[in-house]
Amino acid sequence: MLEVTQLTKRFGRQKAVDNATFKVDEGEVFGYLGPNGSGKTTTMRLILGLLRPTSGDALLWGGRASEMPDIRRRVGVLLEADGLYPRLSAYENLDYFGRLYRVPGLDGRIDRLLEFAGLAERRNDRVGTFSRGMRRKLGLIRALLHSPDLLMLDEPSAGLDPEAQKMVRDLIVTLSSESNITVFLNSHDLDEVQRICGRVAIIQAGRIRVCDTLKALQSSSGSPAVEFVLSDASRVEEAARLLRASEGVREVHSRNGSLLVDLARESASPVLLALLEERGMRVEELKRGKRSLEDIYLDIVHREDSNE
Amino acid sequence: MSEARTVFRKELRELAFSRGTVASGVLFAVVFGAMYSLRITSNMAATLDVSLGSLLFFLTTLLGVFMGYSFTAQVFLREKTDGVVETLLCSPASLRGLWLGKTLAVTVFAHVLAAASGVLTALVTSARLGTVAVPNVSVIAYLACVVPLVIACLVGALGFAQLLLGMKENRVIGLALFIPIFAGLYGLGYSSTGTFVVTWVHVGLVALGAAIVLAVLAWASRFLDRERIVTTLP
Repeated sequence: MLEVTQLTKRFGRQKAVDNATFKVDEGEVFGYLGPNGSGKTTTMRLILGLLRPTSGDALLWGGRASEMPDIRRRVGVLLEADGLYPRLSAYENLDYFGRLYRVPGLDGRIDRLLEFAGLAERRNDRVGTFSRGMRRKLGLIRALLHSPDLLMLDEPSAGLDPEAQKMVRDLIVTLSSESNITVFLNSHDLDEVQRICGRVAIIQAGRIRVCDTLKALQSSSGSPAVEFVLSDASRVEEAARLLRASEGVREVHSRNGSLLVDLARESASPVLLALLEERGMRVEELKRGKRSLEDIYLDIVHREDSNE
Repeated sequence: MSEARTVFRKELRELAFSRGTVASGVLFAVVFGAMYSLRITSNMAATLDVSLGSLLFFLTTLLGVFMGYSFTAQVFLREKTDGVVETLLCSPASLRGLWLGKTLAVTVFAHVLAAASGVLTALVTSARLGTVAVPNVSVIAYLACVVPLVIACLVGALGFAQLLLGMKENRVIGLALFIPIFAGLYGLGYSSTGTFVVTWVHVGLVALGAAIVLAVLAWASRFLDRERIVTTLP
């Protein structure tokens, strides 16, 4: 459905996107991660046909969005800017975009979506008077107005309160599972991506560093990992220093009072456990470590930083 | 064309419901109308229809150009500064449709205000002279049909530039284009009111010039480019 092949975009000498290749299948929720300035937004713009690739291609249903209005009609977009006219009311904004997309039964659709987003009472208020969160919600229902097959979302829950963030997350999951809508999620919120995305790509300095299912990334992060939960959380940093200096340890991450340890070999964990106990640090729990997306992301980003 | 109509309706509505825009438009229409009207009553050497004709010829063009210039920034440039244009470019609407709808909306709005100023001027002149002042048919035709063409030329060209160029370039181009036109029209109008007789030849020449410029702009609208617009966002 979305096929990005050796996509490169240069701005002068600067390569904003460098040879990116990935695919997104129908009904998939795909997370696109990367630090600021890594090329995330440029990739989105290339897919949406707002920029021309220097080389390579980004095809939606086999065609280029820039050349085919019918392809653009199948895509719902929420970019960094909400894409709303502050001097128009919520209804007028939706009505305008609905007409551009030729949405049938527009009035009823607008009313249903405003009701769904909890904005029905503000229907006739100018968007300029809305809070950031309300504008984001309105931007999201604007993107859904024409029942798109693909949703391209750039930080959809930025600026939303936790309840609204949950609403957005639930909505994305529902859209994907029940309506088979494909979601391309550009986000900094690793927790959000971890909760809702099936596959992720991590881009840095214009290059895709990894692209795989979350499960595969967690299991193929290189080395076996164990998690030590200490009974005295105040000694976590001390324990981390001790383990880092130990043989058989590749990396130590402290996380919510526990330690996630990447091992060079599986057999090292009893030795480390004994070492901690020996120093008077009681281990309350020892379990097989499952690396979070944050760990994986930071690993990749820092590794590439140190390589450059 | 339906997308141009949708854009036209939205932009016209936004202009008409913007209190600041309407207030400044009406203010200029009244001030310029009254100023020119005073000029005609003190120049009684020419016949009334000649004086009124030349006055309306320059006044409505001047006001149309002035208002077209000020409203163009609201309709084209503001969408870039607000960041809405990127979302709009992702819609199925064509760039030509967007440009056309916006150009038409500004043209209609500016023309209505310029024409209202012309009518007001005729009324004030009539009241001051104690007689009914009616311009000749060529002037009425000019006001109704050619002034919108002239406004559309300026708005179309400025809108085109505002979509494709950055903020700095737009400021320079806007002033470089607007100041000479405005100053030229103002000076011509002020010096020739009462002596310049508006004929069908004048009307035809201006209409032809405007039509040629518009045709060039319509052709050039194929060069509007999404990448150029996105990469010149402020």
